[in-house]
Amino acid sequence: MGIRSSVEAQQVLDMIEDPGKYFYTESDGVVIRNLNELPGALQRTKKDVFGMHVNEEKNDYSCWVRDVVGDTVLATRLLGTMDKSRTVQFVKERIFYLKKKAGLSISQKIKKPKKMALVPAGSAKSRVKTSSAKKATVKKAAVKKSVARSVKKTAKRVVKKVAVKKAVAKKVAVKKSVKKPAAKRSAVKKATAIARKAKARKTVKSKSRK
Amino acid sequence: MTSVCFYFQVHQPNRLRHYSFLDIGNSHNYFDDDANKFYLERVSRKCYIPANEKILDLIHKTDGQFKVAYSITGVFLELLEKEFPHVLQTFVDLVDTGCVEILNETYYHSLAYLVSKDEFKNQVKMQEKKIKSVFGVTPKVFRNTESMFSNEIAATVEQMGYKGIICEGLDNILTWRSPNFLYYCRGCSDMKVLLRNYRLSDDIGFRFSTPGWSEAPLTADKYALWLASSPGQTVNLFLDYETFGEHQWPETGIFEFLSHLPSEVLKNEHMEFNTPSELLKKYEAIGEFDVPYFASWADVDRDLSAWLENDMQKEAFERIKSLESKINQLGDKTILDDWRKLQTSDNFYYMCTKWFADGDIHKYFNHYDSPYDAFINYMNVLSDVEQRLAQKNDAHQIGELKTEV
Repeated sequence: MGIRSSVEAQQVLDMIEDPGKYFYTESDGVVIRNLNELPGALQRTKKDVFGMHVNEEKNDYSCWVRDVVGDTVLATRLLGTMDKSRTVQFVKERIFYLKKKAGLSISQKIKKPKKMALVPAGSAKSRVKTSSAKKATVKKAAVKKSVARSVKKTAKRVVKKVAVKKAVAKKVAVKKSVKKPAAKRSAVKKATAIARKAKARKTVKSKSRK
Repeated sequence: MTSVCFYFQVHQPNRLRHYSFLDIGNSHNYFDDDANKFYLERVSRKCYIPANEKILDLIHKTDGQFKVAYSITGVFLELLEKEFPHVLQTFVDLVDTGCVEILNETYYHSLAYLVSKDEFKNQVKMQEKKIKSVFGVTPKVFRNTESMFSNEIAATVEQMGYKGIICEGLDNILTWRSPNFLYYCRGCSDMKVLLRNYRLSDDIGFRFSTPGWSEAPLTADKYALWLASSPGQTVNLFLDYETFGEHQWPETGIFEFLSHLPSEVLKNEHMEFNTPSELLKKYEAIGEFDVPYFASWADVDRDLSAWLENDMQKEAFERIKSLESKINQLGDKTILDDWRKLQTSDNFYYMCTKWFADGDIHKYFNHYDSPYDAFINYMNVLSDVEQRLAQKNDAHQIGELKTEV
């Protein structure tokens, strides 16, 4: 059975109340009280001790996850490896997934894994859902869609406004570029006219002196 | 509250004398009485007397808070009664305090269950009677020879009226579980299983004086701290009693360790000493302990390979087993007693050829030069028993014919 609801995900992550169901590694005195503690404990466990629990004949961690924690998906996945670091990775991934499912904030200690979900989106397990859960998901999807539409509209408007602004700015720039040579020309004309006038005055003065 | 349960196994075998091929048919004296007396005197002097005194003293000092349990074989009690009654009295004094529980086992410390269920039941009943006659108590908890255990054995023992049974804390059966809890056994309705915490037990039993051990020297306060930090209902420390003074010599400080341990443990408010029967009343079993095969506390294998692995051991055992019906038919008490003494597990232990991981321990307990010597000696004795049986049977048949005539 996979994890179907947030409640189930929470249950898997919860502290195990019965000390008789903790995971005990007698040789190094490590006690694991819930799934959350498993990755840290595994990292502390020495290779030879890990080998006592995980070998070709058995996988005690998988048994514990199946029988006590109640997560058969993770238990099955753990059966597929005898490597310690891979085991740690699988457990971390699963915790990340379960926390997300349960709506919990992901602890800083547990880094975001590369692969997110253990259950693929189109798998049979993900398709099997209760009617109430279906309704809730439909509603959520509708809300999401409407939000997306409004975001798109506003985005379009913003884009339009920006485009208009750009066009106006361009026109102004063009006008400016056109005006500048005209002004220059008139200034030159003025200057030449003044110079002519000055010359004319000079010639008149010299003629009169003569 | 976390309990600490001490249980000590007390046994000395009837060692066979050197019995040559030429003795077959000529001598029916199989046992080396002098050697048995010599060893018993030595172990009594080094272990039983000082350890009993120490434990009695600790019981008084702690106002009865220090409690222990013993399993003392019938053959050992016989030897004490015969040779050293004053040593036996020290055990009786301990039981009289009310802080010491006596567990039951097979009278001859034998592989009787592997011979037949009937033979096993007979030896258990014999032991019950012996304990009742010596100590005046009726045992409620059972511990089979060398902690031999299986679902089948547990069911048989439960049928005999026992409420609890002792077993090794087998890693391969426990998997992720702790031996510090009580379990119920598959196939039993009400009987609880007490598991030995072999790591903490072996810290005293084997590693205490091991040179180079990272935790050496093991002091009482350090060990008490380990016990206090052990999670669970109870820490069961099951040891050979000869650990004190014989396996661990007095020079190692084992008696000082024993002297200080109860007070160090009792410093922790959440800890107390309990006997096996008290544990059965105090705690509920938390899960199933399913052992479909024969397990034991011996060697690293924790199976029957210490007694029944090689061809010599198997042949010797099959031959002694095959005599059961003839011996029961004959009803001769002397032959029956000899036959049962030959079932003692030590006789097969001496034939063990595992000279690797457990070689040193085997050598320590073996007074033969080699396992082959042990086998030849044993088979010679067995041949004589067979001859006696045949002769007695013939005589019996002739007697019957005479009466008919």
